Amino acid sequence: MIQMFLVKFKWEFVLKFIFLFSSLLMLNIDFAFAAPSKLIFDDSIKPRTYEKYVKAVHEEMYTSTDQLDKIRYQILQGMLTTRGYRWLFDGEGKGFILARFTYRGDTNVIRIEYNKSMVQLKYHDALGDFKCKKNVEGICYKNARGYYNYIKNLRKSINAQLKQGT
Amino acid sequence: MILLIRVIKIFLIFSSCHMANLHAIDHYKDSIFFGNYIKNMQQTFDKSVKRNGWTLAKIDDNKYIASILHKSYDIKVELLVEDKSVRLVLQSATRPDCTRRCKVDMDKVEGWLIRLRKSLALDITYLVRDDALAKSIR
Repeated sequence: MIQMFLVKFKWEFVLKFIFLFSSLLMLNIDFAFAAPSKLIFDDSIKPRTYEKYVKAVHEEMYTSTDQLDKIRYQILQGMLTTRGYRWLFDGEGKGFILARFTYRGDTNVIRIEYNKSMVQLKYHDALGDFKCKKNVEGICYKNARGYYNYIKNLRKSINAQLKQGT
Repeated sequence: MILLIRVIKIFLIFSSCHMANLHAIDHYKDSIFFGNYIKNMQQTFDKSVKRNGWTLAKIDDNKYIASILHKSYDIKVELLVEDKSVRLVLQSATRPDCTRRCKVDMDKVEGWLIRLRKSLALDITYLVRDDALAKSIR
């Protein structure tokens, strides 16, 4: 009886449904929650680097205006005026801009998430030495020191633009 | 038995599709999204490629050829426009007038292609930034 049920039951359809559902979830999960939030450093995560390095890159920045167009401009201007290297536009979506950095064989793509009150840099993708070894919801807890040094400058530059409030 | 084979088949499709979902980036092959920011495509591309000494030829609205003769290398790259984005496809890299040590160093070629992509992306970034400025003061 049970065997008949197992054979007749449309397992294929069930598995296909699970597959489609999880595929959609995999595709959208990164962007469904594209919103900046206050960084709470989790000490229990391992491997991880020092808190000051993670904060230098991923700590939230506060805006001086609530106009999203203005904040978007400030982010783009911050990308282009970063000390040492200009970050380049690599795409965008609702509430985020992708910024790309390619230098000496390493490529880094950062997702700059923003809303009316906050801007936050999140790890998106990388090639070469800067591939994140411990990525927790866009916060990279473990990576090469260069990752924190280069992206620190981008955060500083965007923060300077946000404070100017132009 | 048939059921088991089917389950394995679906599992394999499932896992391979998930692997495909994990997008991998590339130094120069990734397309650059430009949306509606470019008003005159040929002018924008021409300005970008000239920055590093390349020359541009238009094949049609969706295809351009950038070429350069540099340090004995003759490189030709296609600029393919699709889905409001542009991507680089290497067409050929040769050393026609080379007399000795004529091996084509693909690391060098890739380096020049990365620069070309960066140059295109820079101009697109300026256009996006200018558009954002116009929207912010509207």
